Amino acid sequence: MANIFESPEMVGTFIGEVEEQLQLLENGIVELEQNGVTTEVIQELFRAAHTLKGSSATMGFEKMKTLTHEMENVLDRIRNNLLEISRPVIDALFECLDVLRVLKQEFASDKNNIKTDITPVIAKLKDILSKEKPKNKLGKTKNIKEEKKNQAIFVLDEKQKEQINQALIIGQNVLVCEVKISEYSQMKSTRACLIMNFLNEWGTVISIVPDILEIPVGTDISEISFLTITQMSADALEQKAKIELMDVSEVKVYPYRNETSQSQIKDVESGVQEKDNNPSAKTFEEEKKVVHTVRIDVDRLERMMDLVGELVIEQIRIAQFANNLYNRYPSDETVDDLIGISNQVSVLINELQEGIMKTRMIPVQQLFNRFPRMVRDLSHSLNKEIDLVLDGGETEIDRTIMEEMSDPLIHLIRNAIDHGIEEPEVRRKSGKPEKGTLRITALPQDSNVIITIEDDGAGMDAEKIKQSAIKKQIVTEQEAENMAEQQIINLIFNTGFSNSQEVSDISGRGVGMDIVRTHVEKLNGIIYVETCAGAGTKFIIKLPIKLPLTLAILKGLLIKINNETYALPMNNVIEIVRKPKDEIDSINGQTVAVIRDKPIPLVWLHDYFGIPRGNERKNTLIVILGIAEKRLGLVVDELIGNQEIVVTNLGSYIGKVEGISGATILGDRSVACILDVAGIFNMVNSKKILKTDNE
Amino acid sequence: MTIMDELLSSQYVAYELAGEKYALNISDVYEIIKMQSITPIHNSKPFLEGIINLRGKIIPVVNLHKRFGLANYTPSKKTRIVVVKSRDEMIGIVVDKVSQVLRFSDIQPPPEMVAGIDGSYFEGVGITDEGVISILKIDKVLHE
Repeated sequence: MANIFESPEMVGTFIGEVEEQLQLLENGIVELEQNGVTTEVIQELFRAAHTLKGSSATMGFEKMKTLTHEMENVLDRIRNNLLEISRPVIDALFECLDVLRVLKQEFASDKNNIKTDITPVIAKLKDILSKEKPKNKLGKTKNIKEEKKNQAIFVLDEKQKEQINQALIIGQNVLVCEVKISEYSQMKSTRACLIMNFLNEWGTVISIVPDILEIPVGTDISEISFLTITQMSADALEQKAKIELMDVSEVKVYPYRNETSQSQIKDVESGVQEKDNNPSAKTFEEEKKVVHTVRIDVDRLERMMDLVGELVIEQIRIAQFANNLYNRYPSDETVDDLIGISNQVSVLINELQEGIMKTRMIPVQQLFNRFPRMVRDLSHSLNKEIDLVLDGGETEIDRTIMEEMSDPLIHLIRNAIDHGIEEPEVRRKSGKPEKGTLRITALPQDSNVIITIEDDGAGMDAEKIKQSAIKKQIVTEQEAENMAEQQIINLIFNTGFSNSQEVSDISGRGVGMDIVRTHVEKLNGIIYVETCAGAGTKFIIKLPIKLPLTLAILKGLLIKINNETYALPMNNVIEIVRKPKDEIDSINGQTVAVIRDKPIPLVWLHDYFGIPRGNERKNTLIVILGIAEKRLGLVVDELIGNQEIVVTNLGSYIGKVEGISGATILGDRSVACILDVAGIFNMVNSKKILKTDNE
Repeated sequence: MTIMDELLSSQYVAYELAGEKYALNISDVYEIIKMQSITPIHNSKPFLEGIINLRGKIIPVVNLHKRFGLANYTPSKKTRIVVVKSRDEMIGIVVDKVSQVLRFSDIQPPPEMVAGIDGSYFEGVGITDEGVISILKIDKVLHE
């Protein structure tokens, strides 16, 4: 059956959708467990299960369809208050999720080879269904039902909600048409379809409860609610229906109330409490805000990003060539035009670059979504009670940065739960609430995002860290004695430091804080920790919102050393000075020049590169280079000027060369090496000079 | 004998290093360009001559004269850079002269030493009417 549902695009879209819905389910179930049944949550869950059922049926994925159908049944019971939330129910629902995830994986790798057996989990669901709330089976059920049945609960997707909004805007009526099919009717489901057809003549039926299109023919149904958009008023439609419909014992038509008003009905019987005080406002906003979005394969986005990067590089080359031409033919107007066009293109490329960067931004919430389930499972397995608070999920960040941060954050969360937050008894004894709090927040700050992971657990013991660091020979005892407390705490980021006494399944698997730090630093981020013994620990991670588009372009200062042209990264150039010969001294064999009252060591790269220093001149040309607070003066033979340069690496054949970070093609098509300032500092510190006979 | 068959069926680019004739399998050769100014890279491999700009791409150039301990070249009108593709990377080789493209009627396994160079650097020795030409194992020469 080679149809369009077999195409990789379709499967990709399907898998994407499944992932999304599974995430919704997961969050919903966690919330269900924590806060009990609320109408919004259960509706959300039901909708997600329903969507999954629909799309898996479309894809011909029987197992997923069956499983989600059973889930739907359970959720339906919960929704109708026929089933109480209990640990077994939650566990079963989570188990479903896990099975669905496996199914999804199997489907993605080979849709014709689905091995997972869904019968055990289905049996569990069925088992749950058989244990309905006994009290509700009696007369009371009816009461509740009657009360609630004021309006059937329509499960609406975004499209249907939009339809309703549109209808209301243009002044149409949205009506609920409740029909009781007469007991004598022989074919009730067919009758139901006829009623639907009748209503469709006078308007549009957008939803039906129960869904008569899905239930098998011959099922005994008596009450059906139709959600209809029509020009007619409720009374007129009711009259018409009463006259024209056959085999109908009762017809009731009334305006549709949003599900929000539904949620305000307090269900006294089950003791469910509505937490949300103004749900109507919220839902209204949600419905109003229809965002048009397109799903894009990440690879395509990456490809576009790469292409823009290359475009930027080529544009710089064009600009360079235009300048060369201008120098050669200063009076030619065509060259002026070329420069004009080149500038214009450069503006456009900048905008394109901005646009591409924006498409890569996603809310941190997507990352946060992974945490609730993880925290739940972890705290259950460790018998700890933890309240997870996630703040600032709407903060946007580059998706690559987010992906890269996933593992480090998970590690920090595991640490906080495993080592940070104490067992309930311990907490009670130290006068804390039994339930620990783990707070994860994201906050935009200028061009950075600050992510904090904060627990109210035991905090870190500086003394313990100190002893451990000494034992592991990260610092000597003497060094440790001279360290401030914060410095000692920071030792946890050192390689080979893991404070866990024993290796557990949860943390301390050799993946230490040093890996976390490396990850953060790789992204140009900073991580630091604040801790207070007994009160908790807070990790603060500062990350750039955007990735640099490409590391391939930098502002460079072109210099000459013995007729060889080199480029220095402008951001390492502090200043350029000329010093007469007699102001250059030697201190302990090191040549220095006093610049702004500070002696700066001078370096002739000639000596390190094994090339002659050249004739001494009256003035020595010195480029002061700096990294952090370190300074050195590089003696150069000639200054050419600064320009944007495109960095090319030297390739794997040449590999790493000390003191050189890459090469660039200059406007005259010649090649110049780019000096690596950090490498030069290292060279100067460690290497012996090749030629010293010049002194 | 399939390897030998393959060697015999190939075409070769013959070139000279310090007066000695050598050959490269034509399938290894990407392009032959005139000598141009080479930007030196100090503190790298001893026989790395430097880097050049090959139509917008920066590629390394090696000095086989140094590699094999031959008398160094002096750039002349005939000096060429043979660009080879080795392990997915383009690498230039400075040669004194590119003489011709040819086939060999016979190829002998390399002797232990070829013109003072370890025989393991060669695929074999090709026989032509004008004499013998040593066929370089370019991957081994460049990478080992």
